[in-house]
Amino acid sequence: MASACDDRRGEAAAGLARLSTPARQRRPGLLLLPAGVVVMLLGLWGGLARLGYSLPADTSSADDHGILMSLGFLGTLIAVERAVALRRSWSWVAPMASAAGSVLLVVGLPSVVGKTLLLVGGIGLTAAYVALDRVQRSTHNTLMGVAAVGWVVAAALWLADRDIALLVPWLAVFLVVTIVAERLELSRLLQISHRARLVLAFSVVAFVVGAGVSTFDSDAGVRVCGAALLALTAWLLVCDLARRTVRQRGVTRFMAVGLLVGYVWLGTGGALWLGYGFHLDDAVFDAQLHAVFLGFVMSMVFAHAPVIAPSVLRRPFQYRPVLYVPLALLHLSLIVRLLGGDALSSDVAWRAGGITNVVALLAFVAGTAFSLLFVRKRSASSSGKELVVRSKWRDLAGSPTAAGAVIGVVVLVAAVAFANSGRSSADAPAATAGVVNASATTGVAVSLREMSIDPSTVTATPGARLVLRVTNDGTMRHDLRLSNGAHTPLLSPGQTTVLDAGVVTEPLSGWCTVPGHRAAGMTMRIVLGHAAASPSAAPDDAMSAIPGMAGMAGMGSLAGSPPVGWKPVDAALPAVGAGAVHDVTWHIKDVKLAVAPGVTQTMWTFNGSVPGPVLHGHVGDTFNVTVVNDTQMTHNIDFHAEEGPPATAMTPIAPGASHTYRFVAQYAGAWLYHCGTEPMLMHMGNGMYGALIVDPAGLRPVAQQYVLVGSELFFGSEGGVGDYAKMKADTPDAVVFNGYPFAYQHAPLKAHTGDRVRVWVVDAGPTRSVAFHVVGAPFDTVYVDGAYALQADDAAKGGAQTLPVDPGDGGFVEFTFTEPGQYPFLSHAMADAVLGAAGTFAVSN
Amino acid sequence: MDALQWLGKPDDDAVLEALHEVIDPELGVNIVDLGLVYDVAVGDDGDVAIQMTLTTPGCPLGGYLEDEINGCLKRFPAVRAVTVDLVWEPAWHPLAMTEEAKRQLGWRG
Repeated sequence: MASACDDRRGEAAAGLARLSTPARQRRPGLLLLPAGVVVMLLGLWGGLARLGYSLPADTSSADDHGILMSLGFLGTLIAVERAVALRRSWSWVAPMASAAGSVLLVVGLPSVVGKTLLLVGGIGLTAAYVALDRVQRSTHNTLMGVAAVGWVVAAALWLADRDIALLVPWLAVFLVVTIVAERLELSRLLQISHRARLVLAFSVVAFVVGAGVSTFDSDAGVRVCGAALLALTAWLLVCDLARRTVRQRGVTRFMAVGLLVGYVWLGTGGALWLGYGFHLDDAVFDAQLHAVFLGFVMSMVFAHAPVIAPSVLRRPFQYRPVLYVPLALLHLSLIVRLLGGDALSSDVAWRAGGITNVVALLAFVAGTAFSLLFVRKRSASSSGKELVVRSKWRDLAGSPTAAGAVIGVVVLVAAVAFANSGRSSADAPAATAGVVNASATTGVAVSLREMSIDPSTVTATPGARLVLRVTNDGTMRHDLRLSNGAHTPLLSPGQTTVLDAGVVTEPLSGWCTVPGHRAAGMTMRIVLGHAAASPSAAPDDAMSAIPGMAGMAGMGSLAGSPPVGWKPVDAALPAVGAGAVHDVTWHIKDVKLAVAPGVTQTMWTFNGSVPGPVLHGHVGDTFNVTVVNDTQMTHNIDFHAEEGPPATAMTPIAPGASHTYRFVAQYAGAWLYHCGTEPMLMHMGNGMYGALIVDPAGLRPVAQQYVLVGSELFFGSEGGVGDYAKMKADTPDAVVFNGYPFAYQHAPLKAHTGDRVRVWVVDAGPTRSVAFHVVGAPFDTVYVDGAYALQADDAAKGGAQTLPVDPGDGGFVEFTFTEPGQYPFLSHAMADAVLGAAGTFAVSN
Repeated sequence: MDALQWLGKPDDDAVLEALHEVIDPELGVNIVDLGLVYDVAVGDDGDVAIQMTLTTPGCPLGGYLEDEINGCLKRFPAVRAVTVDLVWEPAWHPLAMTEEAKRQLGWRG
């Protein structure tokens, strides 16, 4: 020990020479602190990508965001801090390795290079603590050494291809124990009882044990760590120096405020870890990580920067209260992110909070740089007071405080504009996809869910361009990255985007980059070959199924208010026209319709509405339906009531052409008509259907008749066409009567007490049946399959509850309301009623 | 005292007194009251040699405090070079703090 001590004296003596040539000594810190900031920027870049902002450059920073911020940025920072203290040249290896390793991870070298360098950084830092131990042994230094071992373990597990999500407890050991050890060191300045110190030591040990357990049992380990974090929080809030120094002034108070707020986040994180255990990417995971690593750790960084930055850079630091601005911004935006985004599931709050987190960090870096650059210099004076030496810089910049605020605002605006410009640039290739020759482009819908990618294998035509329409059908956030570098932003549940994979010349693999998801099975392959004519890749539909505009169908609540100007389809049965021949002319057109609150879709329609017009006649009447095809796609009509071979009776109508369908209604009933062009599921799922009502002979007159066409809606991207994958999977976003969820709750159907009401129900599907039911009004008349199943004058006094209507079928019911009031009607298939197959009768006297 | 500062080189006590203005930014307490300054010696030629420690060798504040000390002692025209010697023996101990420092840090009794 004595000799070590002599060494130190010798070095201190050598330090005298250093003081006379300060520039050479400053160099490592001068280079490495900005290098740490660069790593931070790379990490933040990845953070933005994870938040779903599309960024122009293709980097792996999103995958490695957690490592870049913890081992890369903070690891470099902490290693620099120790190197400055230790004053030995080899101690600079640690920060250099971690900074360089982080940059190499992002630039696309084999990841083993970056990972190895990060491991070297951890080992170097551990060695620095061993050297410090030889100078002066202390509990806190030993604890910091344990923390550095946490870095080493995390880096080693990562090098062994352990998923980043599983390394979180070890990353937390590194950062949390380092910080706690520092506070322990300072606690010596307080009157802390031996018992209190034991509590702290026990908590730290428990935390490390929890991390160790997590390596084998993630859930149990995370919970143990959470309990330890709560204990540490309690200790810090009660015993830490910050409680005293917060009463001081200036920079000391700023530091204390940053520390105390950070402790609150540490407790929040501890509760989340303990309460929820191990979670893979979801809202809980987001909150668990960012309470600890942003709320606590970053607040510690903010708090210590006024000490660390001048020590490392050997520049005076002029503290200014404006530093409170980024500090407040960090914590407020974190509250927005965790409370609004994670707890209340607001995607807007999550993204806004997330990007403001980034802005807070950037603003703090700007503010710190400012405090280092613009310093009031001390000079000798007769009074001994400080003189303000006006520097040229300062004159140029005007008031430094104001300039600092301006920098923060500029950074904010730039970051937001940048993130949004990235989004539009990501849309650009998708927009051009619409004009590419269809024969050279393969379009495939891809669905992401827990924990699979469907389809798991996509066949791409060699030399053809492959465009994937990627929808997150799961309940967590997912993305899709291909081995050629093409990738989507992180998609929230329900979000859809278009991924242009480019011209595929070699087999590719794809996966979700969210930690743990790839290992859990979210992978896919793209192989070369000639794709089987799957409906979604059929030339006619490929472009339609891949809308030009990427983006999410910003679906609000299905029961929310319809947009201004919205009107329901008139449900009243139109009267039968004069004569026995009915001539009508319809246009088939693609129309953008509001199909649910906040959702607009390009629907394929008969005459502009979904469902199409109601035809009404008697048995024996002739219908001449002239149809003009105003679209770019072939369509036809299949009238279920007509007879004859489909090939001739249901003549296809080419784009721009027209055709007159002529048939005699031979049978009574509630008939479906629909487009019968393949893929029929797509055409029907996107709105091409309607009702033909042929009155049975002897139909009794009633006061009111309504027609309800049941169907399902499958939202594609906002403004685009329906999602064919959802149609195939029978996973509708809405189940509706007459084209809009809960349409007749917004505009109830009218009826009067004592009046007989007849409701015709036709089910267009494409796949689900309707179980029509009116709450509070049993049916006394039921007509299905071309006959009365029940009649009002039934001698046995039978009643009916639902009118079951299969897809492609129809019928009617009659009933009478006895008292005024609101009577709900619905499809009694309850999951469908929840999705919009419900409405209201408003009954008055 | 004032006259001494300006007319000639300061004595050790004057330098120590001046060092009360060098504040540990984390604690808000000056380095003298913290008990970090072990020895101050003003040489005949006006060179000042200071022996001090830090609360722990892992503390990166050494360089920063050296700079602060240099700035602080510029008030003495007679002072030429300032050398700050960081030593670790004896190790700093909380009891080295003055009553004033303890009071500032909230010690009772």
